[in-house]
Amino acid sequence: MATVRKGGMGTPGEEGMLMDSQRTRPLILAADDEVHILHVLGLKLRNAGFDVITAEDGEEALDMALQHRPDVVITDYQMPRMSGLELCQQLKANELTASTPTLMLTARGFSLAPEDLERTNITGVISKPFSPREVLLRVQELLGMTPTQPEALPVL
Amino acid sequence: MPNQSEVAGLGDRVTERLAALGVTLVNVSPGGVTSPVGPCRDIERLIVTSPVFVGYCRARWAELAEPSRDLVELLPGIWLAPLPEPRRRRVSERRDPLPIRALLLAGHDLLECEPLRAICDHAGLDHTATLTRINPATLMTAPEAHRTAMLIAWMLDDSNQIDRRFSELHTVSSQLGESYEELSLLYRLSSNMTINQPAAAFLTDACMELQQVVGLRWMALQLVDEEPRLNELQGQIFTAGAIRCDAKLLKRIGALLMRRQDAGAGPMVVDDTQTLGIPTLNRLAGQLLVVPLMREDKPLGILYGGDKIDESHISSVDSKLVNSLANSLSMFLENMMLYEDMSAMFMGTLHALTASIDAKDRYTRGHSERVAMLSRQLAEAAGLEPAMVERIYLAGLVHDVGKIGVPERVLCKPGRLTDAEFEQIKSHPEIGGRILQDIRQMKDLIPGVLHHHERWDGRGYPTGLAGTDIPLFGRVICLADSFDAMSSTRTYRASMSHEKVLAEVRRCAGTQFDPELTEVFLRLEFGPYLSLVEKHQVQQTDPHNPVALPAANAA
Repeated sequence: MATVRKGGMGTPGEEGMLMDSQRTRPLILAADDEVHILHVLGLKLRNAGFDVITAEDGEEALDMALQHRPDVVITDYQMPRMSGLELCQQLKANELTASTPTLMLTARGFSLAPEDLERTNITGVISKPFSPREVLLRVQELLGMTPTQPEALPVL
Repeated sequence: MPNQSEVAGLGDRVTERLAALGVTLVNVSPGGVTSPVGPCRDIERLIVTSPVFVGYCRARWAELAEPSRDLVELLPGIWLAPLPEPRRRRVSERRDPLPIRALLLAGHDLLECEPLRAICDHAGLDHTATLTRINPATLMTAPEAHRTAMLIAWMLDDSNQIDRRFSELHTVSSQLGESYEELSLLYRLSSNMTINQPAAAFLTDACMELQQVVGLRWMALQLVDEEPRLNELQGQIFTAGAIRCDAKLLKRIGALLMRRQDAGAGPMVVDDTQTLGIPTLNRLAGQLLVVPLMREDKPLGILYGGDKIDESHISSVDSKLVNSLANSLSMFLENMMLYEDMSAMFMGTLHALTASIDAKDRYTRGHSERVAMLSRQLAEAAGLEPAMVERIYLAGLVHDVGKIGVPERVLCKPGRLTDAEFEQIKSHPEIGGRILQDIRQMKDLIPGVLHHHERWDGRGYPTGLAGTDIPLFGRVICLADSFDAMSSTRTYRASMSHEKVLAEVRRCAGTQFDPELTEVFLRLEFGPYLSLVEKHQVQQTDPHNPVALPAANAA
């Protein structure tokens, strides 16, 4: 029997099923073939009160997305079996995930052509090495949440 | 004494597995008191909590506590397998023997076990009925018990290892996350750290990014008052986050902090701002991080910020990060100052050079500077790129540099020149071009120098180029040069009135001058030019200032 480990320190992707109806916290799917990236993202997002599931390639990510319907998908571009871009296009093409916003991580200096972004829900592209804080802010922004860190205020 | 969960050291996964195997985990104290850990079936609970069983445990405690012991048959059909402790106890704790953990395994002999009868009697249970509740399938032979104990000991050991690795992974991930944060901060800042970027905007960004990455409530970057090479940045303060005071007060606090920093001092974490004795500072922050910006032991400013947003301590990691950024910022400021030095030196030299040419003839004093200024004005009004406008200014400044090669008696000769003398004068654009051609940084100015006496109709010199074949720099400077020449007194004639000069310029549009540029020129605002003329006249009549050089920073 699979157990649900909410916010625990599980291995990436170890968490059990989390269907929409049972969810109390937003669910984020992070996909990257570099496991340390998943750990960094997972830690930052879990600490901020999100549930996180992870996948190590595009195919796995697509399966998980269709099964768990995450609120936001964060994906690397370069992944085995299915690239992040293809993943995003497949997500958009499937009615279950057609409106799921996605964030794309790419190598620095690599940019996606506008025609690539068509037929995806990529709302932001973040260069690696990324700032985990920035990723968190983007996710919170996408979910219409107030950021956990106050914005800078001018000197009074 | 370690708490319950530490003694158990087991996740849900492990206790579930043990329950599935029919194995019970128990704590055994030196006094023999035994208690189950995690789920436990009735029959095992009955046994381990029985005083009869406790007596047996106490009697054989020495065997159970022996580190190399793997299986102790406590009763017929009941084995205890002591488990190795997950972590070594501290030496000081070794004196008091601590409870051990052991696996309780049941064997076939349990059904024939006489002490079980005593246990049941003691608990007021019927022995036979109790026996029927034992599932014979979970009972083991001695070798099975031995192997099971070994396997479970390995599993627990592995599970402990996994837990330890998880906590390491957790630590490493959070450190990695912080490193990413720092790396991306340093990357962002270093890619913004260009001379072209407005320094104030860059410093404001740096301050804000740093405040957010370090997670301080506020942060300020304050530059020293007494460093003229910082130009307009001198004494400036940049802030980020919420600061509960006005900039003026903050600046005073910053100045006091700067004074406290000994020369060569590094970053400093102040745990309690009260101890600094700076009035009102404790209202702004309890803890303070102060990092000096230094360049070769000279203070350039300080970075300081108060209290972490998550209310944690300002750590050495924080101060290290801020310090590494402070080093980059210092370098940025130093580069800026060196650049400032260099361009001040360059402009100073250029002005000195042109002023010395103009000084050969008292009537042309200030001429180069006025031509430069007018050329810039014209280029700007014609809508040229700012970078090109500046180059045209420089070209205007040096346009007559070739006159250095023309004898003074010719240049300053009152009255008409002979043809030969005029030829000498006419050689100055080419001499100027030759003078500049070996200075890499001024090569692009040469067209302005070489062609400022060409005419739109092609009757100029030295090349006789016409129309738009004449380089733009040449056409612009030609207008400015002629205008200034007509406006000032020359050896051969008095100056003309401003209106007359403008009329003359208009008349020559399309013959001498580029007609389009002339249109723009006639619409220029001549106020700045006229005040420059006035300034040069004052210098000219000042007997104590015979070779008045224009201010180096007039650019």
